[in-house]
Amino acid sequence: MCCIRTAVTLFFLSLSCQHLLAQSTVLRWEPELSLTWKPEGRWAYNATFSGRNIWKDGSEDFSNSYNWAHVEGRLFATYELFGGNSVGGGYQYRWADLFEEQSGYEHRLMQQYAFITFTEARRFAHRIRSEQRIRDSGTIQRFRYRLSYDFPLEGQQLDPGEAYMILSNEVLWSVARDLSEIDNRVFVGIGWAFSRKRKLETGLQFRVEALNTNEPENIFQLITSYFINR
Amino acid sequence: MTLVFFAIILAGLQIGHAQGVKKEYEKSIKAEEIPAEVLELVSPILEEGSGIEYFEEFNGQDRSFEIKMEWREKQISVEFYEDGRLMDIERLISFDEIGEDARGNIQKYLESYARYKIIRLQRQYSAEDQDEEDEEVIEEFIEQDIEDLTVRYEMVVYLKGHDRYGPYELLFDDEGALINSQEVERRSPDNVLY
Repeated sequence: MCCIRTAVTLFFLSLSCQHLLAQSTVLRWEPELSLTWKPEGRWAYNATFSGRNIWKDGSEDFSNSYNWAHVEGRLFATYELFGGNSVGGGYQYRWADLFEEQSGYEHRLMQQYAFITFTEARRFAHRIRSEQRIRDSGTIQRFRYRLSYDFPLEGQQLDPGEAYMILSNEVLWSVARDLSEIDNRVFVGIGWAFSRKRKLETGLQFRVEALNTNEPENIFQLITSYFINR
Repeated sequence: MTLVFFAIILAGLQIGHAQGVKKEYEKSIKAEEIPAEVLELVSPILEEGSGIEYFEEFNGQDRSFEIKMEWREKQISVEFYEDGRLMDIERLISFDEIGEDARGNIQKYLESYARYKIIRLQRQYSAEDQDEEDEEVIEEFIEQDIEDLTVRYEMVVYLKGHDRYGPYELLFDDEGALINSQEVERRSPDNVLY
């Protein structure tokens, strides 16, 4: 069963890589650093710093086509409810178009409900989130639902030094005056647990943005995340 | 900015390495890595099993082997000591399958908490304190002739109350009296929550 799961996931990953290379017009990479602190009790706190790198084709000098599209910092708090459920809220600030003449910004307020279930070592996480994206140009309300599925690749427990696989699908709905846009994001990743408090995860995300319009946009990007929790 | 990110990653890796890796582990293995005498002992059960998986566990002191499978439409696991002696056989059951008296005692214990939710329940046929040979224990398990077997109930349950909040593993004897309880450690949800 473990080998079948691995083979299917690697096959999907290889297809994703081929599509990414075929497109080669835009390469995106989002590195992320996530710090989580859980003191005694039901509260947990998270600070995440991330950014988006974009490499654009059409330039012989590859280094000149590199750009940081945005960097962002996020603070989040969750409160554990009974039976694997939790509620939470947070704030994010995004600094966009860093090296443009006029950089942009976004304040984001987030509210969340999540519940996690286990079947042996396999974990299913449902995350429902509401966001208010406040920009200079106006405010966008966005609703998100993400289903994640992760499992250790060795045995029934994720021990230090072992790897795991994670798959997720997220549906997003953005609404504002004259805007109603649905996006979908699929993520396939692999992670390594260096210890019970540190892990590195990387994978490919396939986004279809504005899929309910006449001009949907397909985007592939690499996401790399480093998690530290105390 | 990219170099700063990688520098933080490398620093984190170094700190993780300095703290060391726990010696306990549990990993999937192949059937060939199970001692031959163990496979021979459990072969009557394997004949009716499907989806068979083999695991090796090390708790910091002792090594053991576990074989999990679907058997007669139920999930079971058979665990052995490193020297090939049978440890126990566990079978996934529902709460209603527990005998009335034991079920009543377990229910009474759970209802002493403000709230509880049973996640998983197994009937455990322990081979310890048995006068029978391991082969006889397995034969009696296959025939479900369990009167002479030491039966226990292992339960994973969410508890709220008595200064407890979260998932716990409880072990009851065949009469429903609590033998042992310990908190269940789950892997961090940081990569699925935030």
